[in-house]
Amino acid sequence: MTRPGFGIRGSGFARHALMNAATWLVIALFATGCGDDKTSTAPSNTSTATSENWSGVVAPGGQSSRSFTVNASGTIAVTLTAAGATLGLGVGLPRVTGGGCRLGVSVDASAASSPQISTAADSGQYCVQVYDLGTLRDPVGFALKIDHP
Amino acid sequence: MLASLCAACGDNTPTSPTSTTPSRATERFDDIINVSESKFFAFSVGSNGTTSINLASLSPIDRPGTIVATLEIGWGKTVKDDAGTVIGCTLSRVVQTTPALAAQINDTLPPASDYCANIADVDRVTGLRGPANFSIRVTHP
Repeated sequence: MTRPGFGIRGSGFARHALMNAATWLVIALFATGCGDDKTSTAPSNTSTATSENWSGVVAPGGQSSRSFTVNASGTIAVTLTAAGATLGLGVGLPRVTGGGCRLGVSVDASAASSPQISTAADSGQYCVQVYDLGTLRDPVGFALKIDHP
Repeated sequence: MLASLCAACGDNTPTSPTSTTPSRATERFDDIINVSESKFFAFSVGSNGTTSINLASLSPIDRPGTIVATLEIGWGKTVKDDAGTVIGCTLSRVVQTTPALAAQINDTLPPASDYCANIADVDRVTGLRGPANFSIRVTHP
């Protein structure tokens, strides 16, 4: 028997299935209609690695220091690249008054091409210090490189 | 349903990330600590966030360089007398550590004006052999 007004022969279940199929077709069309959001914006990282070179002279019983700024947490690497003798080499915080360093890390260092100090550090103000270990009879020159974030 | 589907196809304008990092302040406490001594310093936390405490330096009094020793650092709440004068520091957290340039304590502290940072020479084996300069950094919101 054919129901009036319907060209489909079958039960209510068949009509229901047909309606479901139509619904999913509409959803699929809308889903593909949503564009490609390929212009997403990635967070930017403004931290860049910095390399600073410094040279100076240490007198017998003396010390020489220089401050620098670390802009993000990371590793401070200090390389004593040239020195006329074995010297004390350290990294720490600049003194609040009077200049110089309050060292947190130090080594006895001779000139080398790889870092004598490599230490994790938070962002902030730091200083590097070169000092006489009590062995100098005359002033000696030195050169070093500081790599930091 | 069609209305909600149309709403789902929205504006494709990318949203730039916004910075939610609150401003932070760093306080320095420089002093001399003697064998078996402890010292504390008051600080305030202005808003929620991470407070970092860093024993950054331990150095000799009379020459350049560093001292290799283990000290205890920590934070707590100040103790006041009846006149409101700070007379002590009740510690909530401590760690034993050697100096480093990265914070040894990173804790989330609620805003308050009565915090204290403490340093103490507590270990007779690995602690101080004589007086030493020290520097502590406290970074907080």
